[in-house]
Amino acid sequence: MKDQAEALGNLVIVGQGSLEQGRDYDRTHGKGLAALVDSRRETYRVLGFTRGVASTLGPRSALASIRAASRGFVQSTTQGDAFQQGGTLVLAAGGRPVYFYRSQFAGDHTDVGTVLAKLAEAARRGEGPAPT
Amino acid sequence: MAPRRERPPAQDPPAPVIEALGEVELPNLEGRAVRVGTLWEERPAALIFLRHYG
Repeated sequence: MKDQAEALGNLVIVGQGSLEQGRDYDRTHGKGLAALVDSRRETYRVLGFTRGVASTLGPRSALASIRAASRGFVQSTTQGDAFQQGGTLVLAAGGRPVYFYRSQFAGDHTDVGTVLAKLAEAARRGEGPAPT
Repeated sequence: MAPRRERPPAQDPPAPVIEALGEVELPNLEGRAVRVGTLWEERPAALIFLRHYG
Protein backbone atom coordinates (compact mmCIF):
# COMPACT_ATOMS: atom_id res chain seq x y z
CA MET A 1 0.00 0.00 0.00
CA LYS A 2 2.76 2.44 0.96
CA ASP A 3 4.63 1.96 -2.33
CA GLN A 4 1.43 2.24 -4.37
CA ALA A 5 0.47 5.44 -2.59
CA GLU A 6 3.92 7.01 -2.82
CA ALA A 7 3.88 6.57 -6.59
CA LEU A 8 0.66 8.60 -6.73
CA GLY A 9 1.03 11.26 -4.05
CA ASN A 10 1.27 11.82 -0.32
CA LEU A 11 -0.70 9.43 1.87
CA VAL A 12 -0.78 10.67 5.44
CA ILE A 13 -2.45 9.34 8.57
CA VAL A 14 -3.78 12.01 10.94
CA GLY A 15 -4.55 10.88 14.45
CA GLN A 16 -5.94 12.54 17.53
CA GLY A 17 -4.20 11.86 20.81
CA SER A 18 -0.73 12.54 22.13
CA LEU A 19 2.51 12.36 20.16
CA GLU A 20 3.54 9.32 22.17
CA GLN A 21 0.23 7.61 21.37
CA GLY A 22 0.82 8.42 17.70
CA ARG A 23 4.26 6.82 17.85
CA ASP A 24 2.83 3.78 19.58
CA TYR A 25 0.14 3.47 16.90
CA ASP A 26 2.78 3.78 14.20
CA ARG A 27 4.75 0.89 15.72
CA THR A 28 1.70 -1.37 15.93
CA HIS A 29 -0.50 -0.32 12.98
CA GLY A 30 1.30 2.35 10.98
CA LYS A 31 2.95 0.21 8.29
CA GLY A 32 5.54 2.94 7.75
CA LEU A 33 3.03 5.50 6.48
CA ALA A 34 3.63 9.20 7.09
CA ALA A 35 1.67 10.45 10.08
CA LEU A 36 0.69 13.69 11.79
CA VAL A 37 -0.68 14.09 15.30
CA ASP A 38 -3.56 16.46 15.99
CA SER A 39 -3.81 16.52 19.78
CA ARG A 40 -6.25 19.44 19.78
CA ARG A 41 -8.43 17.95 16.97
CA GLU A 42 -8.12 21.21 15.07
CA THR A 43 -8.28 19.60 11.62
CA TYR A 44 -11.26 17.50 12.72
CA ARG A 45 -13.15 20.67 13.66
CA VAL A 46 -12.20 22.46 10.44
CA LEU A 47 -13.57 19.55 8.40
CA GLY A 48 -16.66 19.18 10.57
CA PHE A 49 -16.12 15.56 11.48
CA THR A 50 -18.82 14.01 13.62
CA ARG A 51 -18.36 13.86 17.37
CA GLY A 52 -20.86 12.36 19.78
CA VAL A 53 -21.94 9.47 21.93
CA ALA A 54 -24.65 8.19 19.56
CA SER A 55 -22.23 7.91 16.63
CA THR A 56 -19.81 5.93 18.79
CA LEU A 57 -22.06 3.60 20.76
CA GLY A 58 -25.02 3.13 18.41
CA PRO A 59 -26.14 -0.15 16.79
CA ARG A 60 -24.27 0.51 13.54
CA SER A 61 -21.03 0.85 15.52
CA ALA A 62 -21.72 -2.41 17.32
CA LEU A 63 -22.37 -4.17 14.01
CA ALA A 64 -19.15 -2.76 12.54
CA SER A 65 -17.26 -3.92 15.62
CA ILE A 66 -18.60 -7.47 15.23
CA ARG A 67 -17.76 -7.43 11.51
CA ALA A 68 -14.22 -6.25 12.27
CA ALA A 69 -13.76 -8.87 14.99
CA SER A 70 -14.82 -11.58 12.54
CA ARG A 71 -11.93 -10.46 10.34
CA GLY A 72 -9.51 -10.58 13.25
CA PHE A 73 -9.45 -6.89 14.15
CA VAL A 74 -10.00 -6.38 17.82
CA GLN A 75 -9.82 -2.87 19.19
CA SER A 76 -7.42 -2.25 22.02
CA THR A 77 -7.73 0.48 24.64
CA THR A 78 -8.94 3.74 23.14
CA GLN A 79 -6.31 6.49 23.04
CA GLY A 80 -7.64 9.94 22.26
CA ASP A 81 -11.17 11.28 22.28
CA ALA A 82 -13.37 8.17 22.16
CA PHE A 83 -16.37 10.09 20.80
CA GLN A 84 -14.58 11.65 17.83
CA GLN A 85 -15.19 10.22 14.36
CA GLY A 86 -12.71 10.58 11.52
CA GLY A 87 -12.89 10.59 7.76
CA THR A 88 -10.98 10.75 4.51
CA LEU A 89 -9.99 13.65 2.27
CA VAL A 90 -8.23 13.28 -1.08
CA LEU A 91 -7.02 16.36 -2.92
CA ALA A 92 -5.39 17.05 -6.27
CA ALA A 93 -2.12 19.00 -6.26
CA GLY A 94 -3.08 22.60 -5.55
CA GLY A 95 -5.92 21.71 -3.18
CA ARG A 96 -8.93 20.73 -5.28
CA PRO A 97 -10.89 18.08 -3.38
CA VAL A 98 -11.41 14.82 -5.26
CA TYR A 99 -13.02 12.79 -2.48
CA PHE A 100 -14.31 13.59 0.98
CA TYR A 101 -15.99 11.31 3.48
CA ARG A 102 -17.05 11.91 7.06
CA SER A 103 -17.34 8.71 9.12
CA GLN A 104 -20.85 8.43 10.49
CA PHE A 105 -20.20 5.89 13.21
CA ALA A 106 -17.38 3.84 14.75
CA GLY A 107 -16.06 1.37 12.18
CA ASP A 108 -17.39 3.40 9.23
CA HIS A 109 -14.41 4.28 7.09
CA THR A 110 -13.31 4.40 3.48
CA ASP A 111 -11.59 1.18 2.44
CA VAL A 112 -7.97 1.23 1.31
CA GLY A 113 -8.83 0.36 -2.30
CA THR A 114 -11.08 3.40 -2.60
CA VAL A 115 -8.44 5.68 -1.08
CA LEU A 116 -5.85 4.50 -3.61
CA ALA A 117 -8.34 4.78 -6.50
CA LYS A 118 -9.21 8.35 -5.50
CA LEU A 119 -5.53 9.21 -5.14
CA ALA A 120 -4.96 7.89 -8.67
CA GLU A 121 -7.91 9.99 -9.86
CA ALA A 122 -6.40 13.04 -8.15
CA ALA A 123 -3.10 12.38 -9.95
CA ARG A 124 -4.89 12.14 -13.31
CA ARG A 125 -6.86 15.36 -12.75
CA GLY A 126 -3.72 17.40 -12.27
CA GLU A 127 -3.30 20.66 -10.43
CA GLY A 128 -6.07 22.99 -9.45
CA PRO A 129 -7.26 25.04 -6.50
CA ALA A 130 -10.32 24.21 -4.43
CA PRO A 131 -13.57 25.64 -5.87
CA THR A 132 -14.84 28.74 -4.12
CA MET B 1 -21.19 -11.94 2.70
CA ALA B 2 -22.43 -9.14 0.44
CA PRO B 3 -19.74 -6.79 -0.88
CA ARG B 4 -19.42 -3.50 0.95
CA ARG B 5 -20.99 -0.63 -0.91
CA GLU B 6 -18.83 2.38 -1.63
CA ARG B 7 -19.72 5.13 0.81
CA PRO B 8 -21.42 8.14 -0.75
CA PRO B 9 -18.96 11.00 -0.41
CA ALA B 10 -19.84 14.12 1.53
CA GLN B 11 -20.09 17.43 -0.24
CA ASP B 12 -16.56 18.59 -1.07
CA PRO B 13 -15.21 21.15 1.37
CA PRO B 14 -15.16 24.63 -0.20
CA ALA B 15 -11.96 26.61 -0.76
CA PRO B 16 -12.05 28.50 2.57
CA VAL B 17 -12.22 25.21 4.46
CA ILE B 18 -9.31 23.77 2.48
CA GLU B 19 -7.36 26.98 3.09
CA ALA B 20 -8.06 26.86 6.82
CA LEU B 21 -7.07 23.20 6.90
CA GLY B 22 -3.89 23.99 5.02
CA GLU B 23 -2.85 26.57 7.60
CA VAL B 24 -2.95 24.13 10.51
CA GLU B 25 0.46 23.01 11.74
CA LEU B 26 0.77 19.55 13.23
CA PRO B 27 3.76 17.60 14.49
CA ASN B 28 4.90 14.53 12.61
CA LEU B 29 6.12 11.50 14.55
CA GLU B 30 9.56 13.07 14.91
CA GLY B 31 7.89 16.04 16.60
CA ARG B 32 8.65 18.41 13.71
CA ALA B 33 5.85 20.84 12.81
CA VAL B 34 4.35 20.33 9.35
CA ARG B 35 1.96 22.82 7.76
CA VAL B 36 -0.84 20.61 6.45
CA GLY B 37 -1.17 22.56 3.20
CA THR B 38 2.34 21.57 2.14
CA LEU B 39 1.03 18.02 1.63
CA TRP B 40 -0.88 19.00 -1.53
CA GLU B 41 1.24 21.93 -2.76
CA GLU B 42 3.01 19.88 -5.40
CA ARG B 43 1.48 16.40 -5.30
CA PRO B 44 -1.96 14.89 -4.76
CA ALA B 45 -2.62 13.98 -1.16
CA ALA B 46 -4.82 11.52 0.70
CA LEU B 47 -5.42 12.29 4.36
CA ILE B 48 -6.92 9.58 6.53
CA PHE B 49 -8.26 10.93 9.81
CA LEU B 50 -8.35 8.21 12.44
CA ARG B 51 -11.20 7.96 14.88
CA HIS B 52 -8.68 7.41 17.63
CA TYR B 53 -5.45 5.56 18.33
CA GLY B 54 -5.85 2.03 19.61
